[in-house]
Amino acid sequence: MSSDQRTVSRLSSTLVPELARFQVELGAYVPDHLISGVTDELRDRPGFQLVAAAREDEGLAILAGAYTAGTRGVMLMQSSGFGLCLNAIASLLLPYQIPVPMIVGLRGGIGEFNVAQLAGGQSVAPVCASLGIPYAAPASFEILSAILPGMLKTCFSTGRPVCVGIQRSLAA
Amino acid sequence: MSERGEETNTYGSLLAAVVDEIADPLLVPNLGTNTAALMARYPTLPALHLWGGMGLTHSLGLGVALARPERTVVVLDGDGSLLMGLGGVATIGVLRPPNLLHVVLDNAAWGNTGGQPTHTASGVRLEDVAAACAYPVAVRAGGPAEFVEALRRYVAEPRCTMVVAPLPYGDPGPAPRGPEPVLIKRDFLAECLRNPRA
Repeated sequence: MSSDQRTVSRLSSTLVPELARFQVELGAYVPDHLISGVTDELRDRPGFQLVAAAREDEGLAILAGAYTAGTRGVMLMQSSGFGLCLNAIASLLLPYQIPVPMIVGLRGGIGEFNVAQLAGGQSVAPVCASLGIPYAAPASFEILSAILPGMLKTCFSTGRPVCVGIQRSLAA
Repeated sequence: MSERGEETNTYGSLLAAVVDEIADPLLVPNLGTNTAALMARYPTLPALHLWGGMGLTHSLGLGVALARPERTVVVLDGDGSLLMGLGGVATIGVLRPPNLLHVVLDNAAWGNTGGQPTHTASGVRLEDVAAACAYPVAVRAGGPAEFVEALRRYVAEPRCTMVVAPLPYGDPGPAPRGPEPVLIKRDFLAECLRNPRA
């Protein structure tokens, strides 16, 4: 879709202004179709830099480096890639207390056709719980709008990553 | 002796060259040997000493370089760590920040687990990986003089650069007890914010 044809998705119009309110100026991503509306908008947003990473853990490391140098970032990825992030979260973000909000497109839910996505998608919530990472997968835009400021506040106030799962019903 | 008949690189020679040649660097040393060597020799230099994040050192350095374009960021990578994160080499090759100097201390060994051989011991050339990933400059420095030469070329014309410096594996001994990660981060952030962006 060319940029003149693109309409700002409801997901994007919910997430992007809130990230801006928390002075998030950098993003890293590995593409996911569920949240592609958000990455499309961030890519063109003035004053915002969006970096395409080759792997999700690498994206977290780029954002961690930027944070230690004074710039806040957001990670956007799919649940399958979240599975690559354990080392980056456990041995880098948590011990160094580096806050990174993670926006994760959730595969493996009701209606999933691909068995290879099932276990990975279902593991996001319990992995977050085991690491002590605040997690929510809001069921509606109203709930997403309601929890997002609190998630970002907790993230940047406590120096911890947080995870917002994006269900298919909220897709781009 | 190196291929050009020079002295062999050592942690001491490589770190001294970085300190002597690069003005006011922000340092990002790989966990284990490199962090230990840097802390033992230059404990007060501004550095994001790593105790974790293996495979991600260069990506951290990229993030620092993007956030602080006015500072020279020197990544002190290891061959084992870099082999874990070759995708990150490609990402650096896409962005090519001119303030990123990516030094690889290549001892061809997994230094923290007893010196088992890494892939570079079997002929894998990380500078060739970097060149294939579009780093503007990717060179091998077999000895101290070549290493200094490579750093001076970077200073004369700053372009995103990888310098691979082979050195013999040796047990670095116990790492000095440094501050906790959260204090390392606090001090590094304070150093970065000391010079606000223009």
